Amino acid sequence: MDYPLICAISTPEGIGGIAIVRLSGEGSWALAKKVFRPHTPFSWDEAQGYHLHYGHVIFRDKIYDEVLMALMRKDHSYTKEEMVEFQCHGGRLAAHRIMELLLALGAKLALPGEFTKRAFFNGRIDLSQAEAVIETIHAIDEKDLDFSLTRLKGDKGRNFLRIRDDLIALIAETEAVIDFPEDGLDDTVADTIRRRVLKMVEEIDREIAKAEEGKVYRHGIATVIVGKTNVGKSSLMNALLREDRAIVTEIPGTTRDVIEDTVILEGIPIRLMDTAGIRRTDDPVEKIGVDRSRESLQRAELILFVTDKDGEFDEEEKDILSACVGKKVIVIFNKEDEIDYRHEQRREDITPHKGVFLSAKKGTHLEDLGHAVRELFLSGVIAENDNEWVGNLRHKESFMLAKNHLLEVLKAQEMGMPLDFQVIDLRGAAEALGEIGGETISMEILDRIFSDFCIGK
Amino acid sequence: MNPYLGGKYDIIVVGGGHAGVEASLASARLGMKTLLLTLSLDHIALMPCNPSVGGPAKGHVVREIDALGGQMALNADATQIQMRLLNSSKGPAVQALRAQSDKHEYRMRMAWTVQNQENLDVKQAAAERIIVEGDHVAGVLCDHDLKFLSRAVILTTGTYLKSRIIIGKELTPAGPNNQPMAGKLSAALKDLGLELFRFKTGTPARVDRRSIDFSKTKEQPGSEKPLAFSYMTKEFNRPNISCYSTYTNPRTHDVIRENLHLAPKYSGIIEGVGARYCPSIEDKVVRFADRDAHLLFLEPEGLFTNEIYVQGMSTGLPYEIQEKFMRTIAGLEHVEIMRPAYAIEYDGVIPTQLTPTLEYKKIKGLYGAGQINGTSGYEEAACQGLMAGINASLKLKGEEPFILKRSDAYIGVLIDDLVNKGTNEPYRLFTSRAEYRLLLRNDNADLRLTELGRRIGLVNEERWRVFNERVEEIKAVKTWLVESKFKGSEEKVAAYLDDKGSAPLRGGISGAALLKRPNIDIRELAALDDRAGQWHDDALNEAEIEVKYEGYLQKQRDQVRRFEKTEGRRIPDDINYRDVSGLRLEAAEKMDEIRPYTIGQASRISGVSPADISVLLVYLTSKKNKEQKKIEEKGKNHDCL
Repeated sequence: MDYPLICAISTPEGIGGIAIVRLSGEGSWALAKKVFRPHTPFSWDEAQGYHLHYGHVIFRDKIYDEVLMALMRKDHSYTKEEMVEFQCHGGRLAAHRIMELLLALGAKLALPGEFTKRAFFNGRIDLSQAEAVIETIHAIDEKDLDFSLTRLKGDKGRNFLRIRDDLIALIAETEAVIDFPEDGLDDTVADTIRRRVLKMVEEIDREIAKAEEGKVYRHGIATVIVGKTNVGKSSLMNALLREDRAIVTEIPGTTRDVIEDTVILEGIPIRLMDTAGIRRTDDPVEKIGVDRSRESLQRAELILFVTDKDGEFDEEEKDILSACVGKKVIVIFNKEDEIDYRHEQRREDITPHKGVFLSAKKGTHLEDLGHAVRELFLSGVIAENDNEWVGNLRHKESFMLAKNHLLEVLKAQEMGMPLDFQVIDLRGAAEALGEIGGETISMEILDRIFSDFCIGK
Repeated sequence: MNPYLGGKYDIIVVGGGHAGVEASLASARLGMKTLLLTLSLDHIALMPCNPSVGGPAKGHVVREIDALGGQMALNADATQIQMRLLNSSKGPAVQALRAQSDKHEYRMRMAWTVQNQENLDVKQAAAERIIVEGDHVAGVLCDHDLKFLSRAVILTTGTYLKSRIIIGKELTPAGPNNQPMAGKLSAALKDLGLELFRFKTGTPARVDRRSIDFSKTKEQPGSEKPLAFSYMTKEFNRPNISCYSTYTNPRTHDVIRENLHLAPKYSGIIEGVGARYCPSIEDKVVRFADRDAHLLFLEPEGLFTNEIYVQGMSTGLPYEIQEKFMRTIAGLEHVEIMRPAYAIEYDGVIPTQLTPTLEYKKIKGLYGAGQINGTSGYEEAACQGLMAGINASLKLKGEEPFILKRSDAYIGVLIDDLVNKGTNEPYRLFTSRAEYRLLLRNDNADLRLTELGRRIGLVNEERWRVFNERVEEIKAVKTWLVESKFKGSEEKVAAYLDDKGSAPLRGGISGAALLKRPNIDIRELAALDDRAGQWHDDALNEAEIEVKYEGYLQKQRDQVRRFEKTEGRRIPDDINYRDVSGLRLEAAEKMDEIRPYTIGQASRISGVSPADISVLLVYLTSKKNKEQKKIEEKGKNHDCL
């Protein structure tokens, strides 16, 4: 079969210790043989996979670089094809020169995600595993990385497969009752459906909860700090940034003018949105207009409402709080070192919100804020240290769709709809679950997954 | 010696069973000069197995055949001795008509229709070879040193190809009912390069009505309401004869177990593959060892015979054992066998060698329809015969082929399955084989297909008129439903709702809205409203389904649209599957063999996985993108000039 040889630089742009040039497809070894001069001669015919060879890339007497060359055999590589990796000196130049040489000798430049696509097409990984690869690359948090790696392994806790199998068995039993009306098959089938569907809904709910919790780790919590001027919003901001020395990055956010800072608090990534705006509030002239707040609040998943007020909130604070209706809010009673809060009373005042007492300036009790966030966002459905299969957003959508179909089945039963109508939604649910592992074919899903890949993976 | 030229035809149909009669009638009615060859003029449209037509999915097909201008429904209506509506509580899509037939009347009436059809000759002769010139069919060579020439040939050989009958250890080279079989044709087909399979099927014993004690069995009467497959059937004066049911018991199973070594399947005599869904009684006893009773039906075979068909008791056990185990069954203690049960093995041609018009890819003008394609059942055979007859005629006329989609008809599902997946056991239609069965109902077969039949030319004036009347009537009922007002203040309305356990009405709502409530029946609504017309039950029923289940119907239509978006995507005819990088070799070979027209068709080929389809989709998309780019670049260059 025709396997075009592909190559790409697999390490990121920039200066680093080493850079890796990757080659995959039939003829990889033959091409490597043309350009690689080993320090210790070896027989290519008897060479083993997963072995490193030290030497130089040399072509027509020109030395390209000093490299370590890794050989991987067909069926025992990332793509399931014959592969070679050259580890050359860092920086772009050496790697580029080697890649250009390989291209000149007939290899083709790999498209984004092409290596993984081949792994998928060659049957090494399924769709949910292919996605896990992207997510491993983009992981921003330790727990997030664990999820991706567990899914990549692809052997454990894949409940969606089991639920789908159950569903298909149930469909088959129901169809038998319909197609063999004269065989006197059990007419209690409606009860059976009800019982089993309820159980499946429960299982799917758990998967959805896991995916939601996974999302917290994967994407962080979009957070806005609000409050009146001089209550200590920027101190809180600075305290959080100080708490997490390793500021992950400054990622341009969804809109052009918003800058996000991500901090990890108690292991949970928190995305502080619109912090630039908040920083400016140090300027005593500028107050946060309620309108402006409202806009930020719309996008936030968590609102940190800072106050230094002992006693009733004033009108402005009440305005801000009323704009937070339907959001998860933590009221931060700042400056606990200066103000004596009458704890019990205040706690009641702020229901349904949570309250935390801390001093941003002194950095005391920041961990309480972490615990409050954890309580608000994590139901504990994902156990610590347990390598569970946790779905991503796409999986969650499929689970939700499947669940809706199953609820339709129950509704149809209540409405006294005949058996056949229940089967329609049972099938719909099975189809939705099939989207997770790729049993159900959809061009849109394929496109979505592979468009996220970077070159060289 | 030169064979005698018996005649020249447009189309020759080889075999006069259920597929053969539909094929030859369709072809003759479409103006083709047609010859029907049969091994025996006495056995045209024979029912060698169950004396019945219809059932889930099968009954749907009968109505589809009718809508397209076929004969089966009319013949079944005219010769039925009992009619029932099955699955009436399980939903409109899975309801199906089933007729008990007078098997002799069925056969004679169909033979009479065929013999009197204009453009159609019927002759008794055994086809032995197919004449092929180049890669095109040219006629048929028969026994008696007889030759017929034609532009197309349709093979509808049923279970007669090199068949043999097995009863215990006794093997007889014969067709059903010990008739002569076609001994030479299958070898000749092999010589043409076609690949054959060998299947097995069976039929239970026929017993003497007078030897049964019906008081120990349960009566299963036919419907009191007049029912018919065809909307053209206007006379309902047929007798209504009951069937009866009874059960096997542990003693029956003991007799069977003790003699299992005598059954051909267990003694190793049978080579052919049987159907899982139609197991012999010995299979049932072995496979469901924990069940101590199996249901069986006693079905009359006709008005002028005492033969009773023992449904559910097909077996390959010897005569003696058959009678012995049947006599353990309640009501059958003194039963007398009139004809023993037997198993039958036969050759067929692997159907993946066909295009969706049922023409063989290798030999132009040669078609296959019915059991030769690996199906089982009269209805499955008949619809293929009809489609082959239509397509052979259309091709000779130089017109577009007639292919039904899976979302059009059960016939479409059946043929799509056969030519793409093939089958490794006798293929029977089930409603569960249809993805969109809510749209493929028994009640709307005519609404789905009559217009198509009209376009082809098989729907005559009378049928067209009846159809249009029905369409208008349904429209009238639906208009009434939408425009009517039922008021809670009206006493009879309030009483009706109370009676149904339905919530009382505050103001007034339309009949359509009311009908969507559980337990509300359109006939009862019509009785409550003076403005309701005197409509036929069929029209009321149709409108009720369309209104009551509107949400579900829409859901299914959406599914079809989604399906057609991805799966309806065309695969270029000139695709080279070896060029598709990443496609597994096995999948590439399968697709190359079938040459699917669409992604959907490709996905249903057995041995092709969803991952293979993903690979193909990505290939087609990237190819399209590249071509698009080329065009754009060309455009750019042009601008430069």
